[in-house]
Amino acid sequence: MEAVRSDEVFETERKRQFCSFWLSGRLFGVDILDVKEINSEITFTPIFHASKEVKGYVNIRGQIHLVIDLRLLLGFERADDVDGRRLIIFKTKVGEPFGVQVDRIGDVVEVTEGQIEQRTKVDDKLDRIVDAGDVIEGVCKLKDRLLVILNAKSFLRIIEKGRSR
Amino acid sequence: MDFDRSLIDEFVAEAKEHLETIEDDFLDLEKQKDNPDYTLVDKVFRAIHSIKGGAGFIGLNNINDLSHNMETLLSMMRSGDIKPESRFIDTLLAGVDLLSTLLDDVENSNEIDISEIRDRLTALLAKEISPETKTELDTNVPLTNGGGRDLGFQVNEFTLRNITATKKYLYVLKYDLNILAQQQAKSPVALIKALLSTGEIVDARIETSGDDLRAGLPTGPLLYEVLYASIIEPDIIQLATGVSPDNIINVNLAGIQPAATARPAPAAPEPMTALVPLVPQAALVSAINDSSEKKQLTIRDEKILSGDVDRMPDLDTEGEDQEARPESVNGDRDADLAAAAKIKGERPGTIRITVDILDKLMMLAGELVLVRNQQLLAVDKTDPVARSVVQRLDIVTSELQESIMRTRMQPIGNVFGKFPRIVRELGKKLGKRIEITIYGNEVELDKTILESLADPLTHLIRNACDHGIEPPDVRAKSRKPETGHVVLRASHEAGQINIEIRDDGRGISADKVKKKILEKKLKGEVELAQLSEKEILSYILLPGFSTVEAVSDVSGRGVGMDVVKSSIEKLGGTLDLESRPGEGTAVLLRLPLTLAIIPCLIVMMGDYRYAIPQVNLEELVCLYDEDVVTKVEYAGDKEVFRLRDRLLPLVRLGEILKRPQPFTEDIRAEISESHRREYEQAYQEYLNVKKSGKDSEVYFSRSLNFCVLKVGANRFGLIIDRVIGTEEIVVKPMHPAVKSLSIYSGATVMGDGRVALILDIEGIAKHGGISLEGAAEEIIDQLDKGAGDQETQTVLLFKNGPEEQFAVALPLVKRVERVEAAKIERVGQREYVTIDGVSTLILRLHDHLNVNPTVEREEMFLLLPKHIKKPFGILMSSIIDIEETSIEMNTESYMEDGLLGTDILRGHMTLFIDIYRLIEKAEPEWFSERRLRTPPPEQVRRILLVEDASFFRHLVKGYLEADGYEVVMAENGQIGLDKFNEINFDLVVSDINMPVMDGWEMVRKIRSGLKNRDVSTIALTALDSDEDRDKAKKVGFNWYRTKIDRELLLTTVAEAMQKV
Repeated sequence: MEAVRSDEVFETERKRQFCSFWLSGRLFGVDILDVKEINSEITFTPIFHASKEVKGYVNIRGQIHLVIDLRLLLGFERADDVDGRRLIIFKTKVGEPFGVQVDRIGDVVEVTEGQIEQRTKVDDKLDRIVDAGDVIEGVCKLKDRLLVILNAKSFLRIIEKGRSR
Repeated sequence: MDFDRSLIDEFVAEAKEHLETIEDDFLDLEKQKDNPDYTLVDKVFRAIHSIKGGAGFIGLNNINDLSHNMETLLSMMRSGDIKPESRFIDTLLAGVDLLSTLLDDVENSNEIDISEIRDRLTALLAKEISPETKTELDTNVPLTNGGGRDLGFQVNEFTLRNITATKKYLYVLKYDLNILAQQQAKSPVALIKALLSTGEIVDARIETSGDDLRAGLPTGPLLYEVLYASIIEPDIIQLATGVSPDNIINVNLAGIQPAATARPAPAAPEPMTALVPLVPQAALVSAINDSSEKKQLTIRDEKILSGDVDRMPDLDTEGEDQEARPESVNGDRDADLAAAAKIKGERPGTIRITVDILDKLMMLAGELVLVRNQQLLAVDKTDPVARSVVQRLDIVTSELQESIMRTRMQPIGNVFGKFPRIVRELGKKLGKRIEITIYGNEVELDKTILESLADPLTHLIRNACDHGIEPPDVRAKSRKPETGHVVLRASHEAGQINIEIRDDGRGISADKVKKKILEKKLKGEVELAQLSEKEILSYILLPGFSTVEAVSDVSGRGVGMDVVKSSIEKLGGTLDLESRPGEGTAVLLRLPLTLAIIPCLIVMMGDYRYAIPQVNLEELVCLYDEDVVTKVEYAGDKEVFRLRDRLLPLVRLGEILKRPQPFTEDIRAEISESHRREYEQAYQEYLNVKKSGKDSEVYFSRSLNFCVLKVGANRFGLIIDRVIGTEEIVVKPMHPAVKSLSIYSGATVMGDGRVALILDIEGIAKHGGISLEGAAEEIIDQLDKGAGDQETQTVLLFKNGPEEQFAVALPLVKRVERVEAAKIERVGQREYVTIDGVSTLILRLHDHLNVNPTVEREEMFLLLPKHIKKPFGILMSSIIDIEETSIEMNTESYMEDGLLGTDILRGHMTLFIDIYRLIEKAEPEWFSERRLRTPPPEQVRRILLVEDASFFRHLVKGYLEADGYEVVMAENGQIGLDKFNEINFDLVVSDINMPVMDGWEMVRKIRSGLKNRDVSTIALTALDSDEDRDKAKKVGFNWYRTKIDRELLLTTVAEAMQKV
């Protein structure tokens, strides 16, 4: 990294928290401020004709949410047999009511802004899978593994774009 | 504004009432032009005047100001100085509009800029007014009482002249509104009304005491001074108004002086009058709210001055307390007015609430419906207590939901109301004469829908006026009345609102649209030829279809029609277009009553439930066992089902869901083929097992369920797994990320908490490739045209004896006559009655059939059959009814010569009489003549009878067989053609309108075929126009006979056979 200007010093020390989760053995995270709740609902109403990443609709306390299979969205193979899959439901500021289905929820990870590398490429293997534009916000090296930070706002955009594709 | 809310509400309600009718009145006045109805002018004047009065009273300066200007113009009209010419009416109407706007938002009305309209009004005034009048207008006359003291009202000479011309006397009346309210329960509005009934309020002002309140005083005076012109003479004015003499001041009309003279000096003190300096009226009015202006007020009355400067005299309206109470000053107006409001609080309560709250309520009611549905599922139905609780919850919820929905319902007249104006203005602008007639103002629909309807409707009305109605000279040339007519009609129909906008203008020519389609290369000529007229017309709904170039040739209706269409569709409605060149155009809108909660049919497909909106649903059909294979047919690449002689294309929901790509012909063919193969295989296996006799208990156990759905005029069957039931569901829109999917219109949460998708029937039809105005449409058309060709027959049911019920098909009946038993004459064995001066032979059924004898009545009926040349009638003792019914003629249970057969109608066995056969039995010689002239051939001849209605098929077959012909029947042209190619026929008798293949087509094919192409053909049809006769000749029919003259038919048949 190049020389850090003084006003950025403060920035790099600002703490951010991420809700981490596992997909196909990799650790990902989304900004916890975007997350409304974690839900274990597994009964979905499929929406035929929608792109394959759309898992379907789910009713959460009277409100209908769209569920996206994050595995498929990121290009991993389908894994309907994984136990304990969870839904991360996002706040409405991220988009109309929706959530993503992940393999397993991890811990809340707190890192400073400086620890995050702003980049859209991670490693060859992941890059080959994830071809969707702005979905990766950055990468953060934790003690023993890599946390790939995803941009929750991009999920719906990809679905909408995918439809016109 | 601290004025009592209820007072303002009352004013607004009243003012709106006035404005409601005023538009029409203005329009009427304009029509009367040179000879205006002065009572109408007066009415309008009063309406504006009382608005002005009320507005001034509660300090709505803008409304006051505006109505004042309008009033001035109207007063000139009233005095006959100007006529109600269009330019005045235009401006006045604009004024009315602005008034309405201001009234809609009274709180902020004072901030709204009214200068434009006001300037228009004053400009008109300035132009119209003679310089003399102008001076008069500009000249203020200070009014004085008998003693020459200034009364503080400012009136210009013009007004004064006008008033004094009709009203002899001018008074200043003083009221204390608080006392008025408390003691007489009379509201200010009521007071103004009362005053206006006997005179005219020239000016008015209101004053309250100053700001410093003196505690402890029970009432605060609210002084209202009225400059009142009336014909009531001074000695009875007190009686008439109920104002004490002290509070009435006679204005000295004789002493009017030009304004130029100095204002007279304050005269000798006089009891109970206050003098106010001359300030513009508007300022005076606003003084109520503006304390700074209040301070300008100078009280000059000495008596009062001896007390407190700010103190105002208390006025007594009752006249019982004649003494002045100068000390009664209090500004606690609010409390007083509130009290006043309490007293007068009889009017039905209305409150204004924001739509947000309504929406929230609506949403909550929706949620409650869901909870109720869940509860209905969860409750133990065997527990009586729980069940009754749930039932009550059910009822209460439904009612709550309905009531909340009602709060959002508004009459469509709110939108329709503005159209007479628009039409008038357009007519003027375009130089056309257009009238609009509106029906169904009272029809109510959801506020949201109503609001979004205004623009599309306006557009359609504009289109009708602009492009539909022709200029008067063009209309005159095409022999239409010069005034064009636009009809706007709203009506309820089964949970939907129908709105029709119809004009009698030039219409749209399909040929021109076609040309345009070709020009734009939207379709090739071959494709175009296959489109129905309606389909072609629907092209003008495409975006930009006729906007590109000169639009006059297709009357330019494409402009923005796509926008109209899409906004109607957004509301869940549909738009249809009908047009006949030269006769006019109609646009039909169908809209749901409300968007939020809709009744749906819930169906199961695979593991999931889907909701089908009830509005799209026509009926449910379930086929069992062998029917699944035998009743489903294949037409081209489609599976079809014959539903009451109508071909219904079938679409499989399962296949629709499986395939995200819209169906192409190949896909459709693939689907029908795979299902057909699968069915046939299964069926064959079953037949084999059955044949082998190994297992006598084998069943072909299958079922096929489909919903008959309609989209516009189209119908199709949607095959589903099973039906669950109907339910009211709360519609939630689709998530934006999947909104573009055309087969869903929304989603809902079901009773068990799962989400179900709501199907978009139109989207499914399109996805499945059901042509927009396809085959189904054609068949329906045919059915509509050939009313007599339908399977259902209209029959006359009657009795003769006490027991038997008889029937005769109505097309065979000329008419029914009443006969009096006493008038029946006997000649030998025969009975006659005189009808239309002709002795008519009476036939009694029991003479020729083995039935009970006639029940003799004083009055009986005689059935006169059609196509019988000799005067003859069948006696009936009583008529039961006319019924439209499908007939399945049974010839087995009971049969007799003279009957066609029997059927069960209204639960009774009914005998269908064969009129011709009965006549033949009664009077054999009547027909022998024909037999002699054209005897039926000796050797047996074979006739192909093609007719879709089984009733007629059997009827005609009976006639033919009676004459010794061999008859082979076919239900439509296709079957007929097949049989024709199989067997040799001597003659073909065919109906025209038939499903699958009509008579035209069949004969065309016969004539162009190889086999027996010269066979004689007779068209036997209910169609009876020269056009059809020509066409019959052209396609190759030898004869053309209308249904159904037996004699003529048999003669023709015999003739034809002679040629063979």
